[in-house]
Amino acid sequence: MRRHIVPPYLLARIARADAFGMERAAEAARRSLLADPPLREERVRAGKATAAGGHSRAVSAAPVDRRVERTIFDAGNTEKLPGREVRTEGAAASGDVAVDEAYEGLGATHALLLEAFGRASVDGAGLPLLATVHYGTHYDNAFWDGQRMVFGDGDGEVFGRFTASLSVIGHELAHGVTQFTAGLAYEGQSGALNESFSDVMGALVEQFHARQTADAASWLIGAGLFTSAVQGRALRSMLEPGTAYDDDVLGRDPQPADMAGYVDTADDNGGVHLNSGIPNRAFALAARAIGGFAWERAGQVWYDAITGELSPTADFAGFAAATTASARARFGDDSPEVGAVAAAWRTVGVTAS
Amino acid sequence: MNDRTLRITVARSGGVAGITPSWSITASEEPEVDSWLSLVASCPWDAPGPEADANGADRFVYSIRVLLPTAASGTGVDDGADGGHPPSASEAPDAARARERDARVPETALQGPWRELVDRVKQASAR
Repeated sequence: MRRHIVPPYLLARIARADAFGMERAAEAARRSLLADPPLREERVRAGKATAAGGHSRAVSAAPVDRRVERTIFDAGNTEKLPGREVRTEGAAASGDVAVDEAYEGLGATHALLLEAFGRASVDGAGLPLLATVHYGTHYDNAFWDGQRMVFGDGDGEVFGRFTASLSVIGHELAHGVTQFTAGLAYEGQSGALNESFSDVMGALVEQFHARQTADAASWLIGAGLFTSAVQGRALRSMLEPGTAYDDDVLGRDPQPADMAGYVDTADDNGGVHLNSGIPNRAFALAARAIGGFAWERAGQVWYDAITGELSPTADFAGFAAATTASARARFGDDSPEVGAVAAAWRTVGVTAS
Repeated sequence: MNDRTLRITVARSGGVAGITPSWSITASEEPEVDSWLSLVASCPWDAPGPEADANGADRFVYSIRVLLPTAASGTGVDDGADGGHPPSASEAPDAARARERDARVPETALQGPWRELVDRVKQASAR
């Protein structure tokens, strides 16, 4: 049975909203109303709300399993997935630090999604969470393969194990959220937005876990991954992109902090891990200007935008418009939240369109 | 760099860390050059670029570049219209006679000869 997450009356209301300055949301809602069933099927996914309709939570007919269900696998230093099952939901700690960090990190991420955003797992429908650790030999990465998170042990010289950072675990799982919602294409600006939303959620998982306010947060992604031989604090700084490390071997953190530094490159799917610094900083600035717990307001606004009718090929300007629209919908046109979001995008040189 | 010097560079981008290490080797002794060239020739340079998994994220992407010695004809490496860059007139005579091939290979497609080439360059570069 196909479930329509966005009620038709809400789509109709948003489709008429042009006069209130929500052109993009209105356009998206009209497209959704007019779309052929197969296209609609593809676009309307479990857990979607609309950017402009954030107050109206999606109501689904089937019961959703809100419990966390984790399974951790061990690749045994091969590149074969999924590997051997080593810890299932509710089982005692395994004693393998990577296994147990992955298990706890999945739990913390599930808790943020459920408790802060009312979302049951990455797909909004209770999807079991899968992770594989000890992938490859000296493997310097963690990735999302479309179904599971995968963590390497690091080379031991530059990087230690990739499960050591809760923000990186949250980052990987958030790729799953994006996959099930906006489906941002992993290339160029939409790819950098995909990366940035993963950093936003990674930072929020850490802050939520520590019950930390925006002012007190480090806004670092991947703190604790580098070995002590590296001159650096983390992989990235959301608040001060370009300052996370400066090391003889690694060089200097290459992230730009605003559009003036935007990097045009064919590497890294068009610089998705570089240019993400720009929307990252917009989020951190907005969250700090709003104050309090970042997941409650700035995080909610970003979450509403990603789970709304955002185009899979959205660019920075389009995402700035979407977040401004979701701030209006949730907090009102003249709210401090709208002002903070708009000011943050201006500071990083992005003009909403 | 003389006529008989082969240079292979492997640069990795992407990954959650967004850090871009690179490895390179040079070879000018004939048996060594031939050994590298036969590995280079076995790679599917002309195959259409494989699509990265639409749902994956944070995977590595490898850029592989080979600067071929001019006397490499007859080694089974063809001129390849796609990967080669026509030399510009302003380049030095040596460079003008050299040929270059490059390819961008996502981690998910780094198998068979591509994997062997990348691993060998990494190992030789580390020595």
